[in-house]
Amino acid sequence: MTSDPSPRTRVLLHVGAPKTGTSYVQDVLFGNRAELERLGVLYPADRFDAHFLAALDLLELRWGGLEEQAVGAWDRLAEQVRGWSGTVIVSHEILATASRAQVRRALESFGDAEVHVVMSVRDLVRQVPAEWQENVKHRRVITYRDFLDAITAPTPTREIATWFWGVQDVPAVLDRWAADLPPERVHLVTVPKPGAPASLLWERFASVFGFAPDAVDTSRADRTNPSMGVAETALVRAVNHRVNNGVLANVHYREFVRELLAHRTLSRRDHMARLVLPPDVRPWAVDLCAQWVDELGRRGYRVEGSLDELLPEATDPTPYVDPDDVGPAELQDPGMTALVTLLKRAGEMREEIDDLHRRLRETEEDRDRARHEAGLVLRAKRRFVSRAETSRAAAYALAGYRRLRSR
Amino acid sequence: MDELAAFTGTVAAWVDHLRAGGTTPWLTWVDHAGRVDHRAPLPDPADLPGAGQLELLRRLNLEDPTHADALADRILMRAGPGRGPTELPLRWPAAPGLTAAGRVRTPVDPAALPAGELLRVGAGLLADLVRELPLPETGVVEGGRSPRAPWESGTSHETSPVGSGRTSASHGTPTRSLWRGRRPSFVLDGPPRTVAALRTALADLGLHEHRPRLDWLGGRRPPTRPDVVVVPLLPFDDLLGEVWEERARRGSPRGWRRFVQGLTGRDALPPGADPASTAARWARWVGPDRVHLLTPDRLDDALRDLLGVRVPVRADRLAPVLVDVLRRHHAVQSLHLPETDRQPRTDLLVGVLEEMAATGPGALAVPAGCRSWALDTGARLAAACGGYAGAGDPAVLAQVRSHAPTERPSRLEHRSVLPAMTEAILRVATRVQEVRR
Repeated sequence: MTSDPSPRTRVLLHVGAPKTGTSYVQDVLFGNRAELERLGVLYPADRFDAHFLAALDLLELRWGGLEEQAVGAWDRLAEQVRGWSGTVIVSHEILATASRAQVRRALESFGDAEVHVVMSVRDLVRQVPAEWQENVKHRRVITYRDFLDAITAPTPTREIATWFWGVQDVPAVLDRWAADLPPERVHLVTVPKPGAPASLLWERFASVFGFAPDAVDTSRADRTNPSMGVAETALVRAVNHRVNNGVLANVHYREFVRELLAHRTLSRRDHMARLVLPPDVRPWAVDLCAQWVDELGRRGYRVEGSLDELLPEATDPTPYVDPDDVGPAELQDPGMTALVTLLKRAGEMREEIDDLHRRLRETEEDRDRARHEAGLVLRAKRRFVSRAETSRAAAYALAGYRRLRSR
Repeated sequence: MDELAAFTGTVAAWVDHLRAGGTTPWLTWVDHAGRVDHRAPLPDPADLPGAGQLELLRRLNLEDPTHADALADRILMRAGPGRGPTELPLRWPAAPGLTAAGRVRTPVDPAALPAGELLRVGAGLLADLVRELPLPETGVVEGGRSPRAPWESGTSHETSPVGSGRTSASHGTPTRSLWRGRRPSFVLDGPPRTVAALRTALADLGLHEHRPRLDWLGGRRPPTRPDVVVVPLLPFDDLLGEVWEERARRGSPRGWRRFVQGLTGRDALPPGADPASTAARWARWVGPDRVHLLTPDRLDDALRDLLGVRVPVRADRLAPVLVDVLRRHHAVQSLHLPETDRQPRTDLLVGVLEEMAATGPGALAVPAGCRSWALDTGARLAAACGGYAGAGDPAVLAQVRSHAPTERPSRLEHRSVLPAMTEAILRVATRVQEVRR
């Protein structure tokens, strides 16, 4: 049975964009659900990826087998939203790519709640290399140049480009999500420029969400998705070439390549060459950012931060290192790092397996011992009953035993 | 009237035309209708249906306009599933940039949309319609998957009770004398569609496969061995085609190219495509003399000799374009139904597809990038199939036909699949409407 929400229910629907600190925000929210509820804020999630599964369901998206767990997830999420009186936060960055029909379904599913759309945004100069790297961490083997050509085409038609713009074209995303909302219910959170205090992004989100930034424990955030460097990304792309086509199942790829290697190992190396836009593409991105800032400024949305933070510098002092041109010599060191990491993990897993084998053996021995003992007792009982047929003393003892058992 | 109002009014009028079963393409409509001062109030331009949805409705109307009214809302209010552009705006020749919205929402001529985009939208619609088909009361749908072998106890087609490592004390008697006096017991194993057709044909003649009775007497009695194990041999590319189709019938969303590519990196082939392993597995239990590897040209005579019957040996196959429709449907359906509920729906759709005339190529070639793997694997299988009873030359396994654009392409063009998709949609829509009456 569904319940219509109190008119005081306010839904803060955070729809993107990817690569703007969304994983960090979602981790903080998930890790602090109890504290948030005490503040009257619901983050409806029984698992850390609950909103991701709900988004897969709404968008009818396949995602490496995870969609199997997403059937009905959006409706379940919406039911929790409708049942809450207060503020509800829903957050996943792939919601950015929802079509108008999917947006309609999402908004209708919240009943009479007051919906606000939140979009965190960062300049394209930083977004483009981050998105290519994200593609590589999802098994893609497309080169950086090929990716750039696809997204900069006058009419992007390739799937990788339509996905990129579906989540990164900020004005178009808000055209779909905010078409029916007054501008004061649309909140842009700009990602601070490099060098800003680390806490600033969270402070801006907290301001939109309506509570003090220190009302929750941000140290519980586990996923920060740090970036890999040029050689590290090239290494993962080379690994993809070898492990695709049935060699490594998605579930193992996620655990070992994306999480263990990319997120927890390669992104934490020292002295990595930073992945940036090549000099021939940067002016295009700078120009597009300027157009978007003009457009967004005209729309009158609420801004946490400043739209000026979406205007990159015309040039970048960082020397451009082409990830498509990384040779064996540059791959050697990150490759060794990856190999050592995997060997250490293999050793840990071997110890875990050995321990499980030991516990299984002990359990089997206990089981066999119990069976044996049960057999001994059973045989002893049979001998005693046989004896009772020829021995009066045994017969009296047996009768007494049976009387005691029957009580 | 401003340009946006003119555009919105003209679109609204075209939508009404399509809802009524019309088939005029958009740009032709614009030329003839001109600037339409449509009824007030105009729809919100942001809520106009996308070009893909509108064009799909028009293509369906071209085949059968009688469903337009019933299908229009379903299509026009529905997003295309999966990854792809969101609602594409229609091109307005009077002001080409009028409806541009964002980097990928460039205004389009819907009649010129790639067939792949229409297939994407169509797969969503087909899945919605299939979910509305009533299931048989018994919960069992005729057709669909291959009937399970009686010795298959698990949920996977690939399980078999054999492979226990048992070796037989004797390797059987010559097969020709087996059926004098009694008909020999037999099992069928191998390419799933060929085996399914044989199983059904033999069952129609009252001949059923041997049951090992593993569970009799609590498993303490050794299972009885079949007298004959029949393993049909086919060219390797045909084996792959049968396994791909069987997997689609059981709910796999993989297209042909990804299916074959996914095999190239694995250590083992699916059992239906690996007669060498199949034969070896049975031989460990019944002995190689009882395992009969039969090539297509000898299958008919061999069955007559072994089982004393003649059966029409023809695999029950769907044309590749229909298999592609099936797997596209499943790619969407699996997002809406839990696994336990999917197979009956898939079986219903297979029943519809089996009624459709075969169109397009009859078989698919191995994709070019996988050809050398296929040639090596076929040759390896052929070499490993010696030492068994049988008829015909196992070298047939080494056949991997080349790409032939019409007869045996290595990939399906979207434009060749689209007519099958639209026909399937209309057939299922007809059934849904019949149920509602």
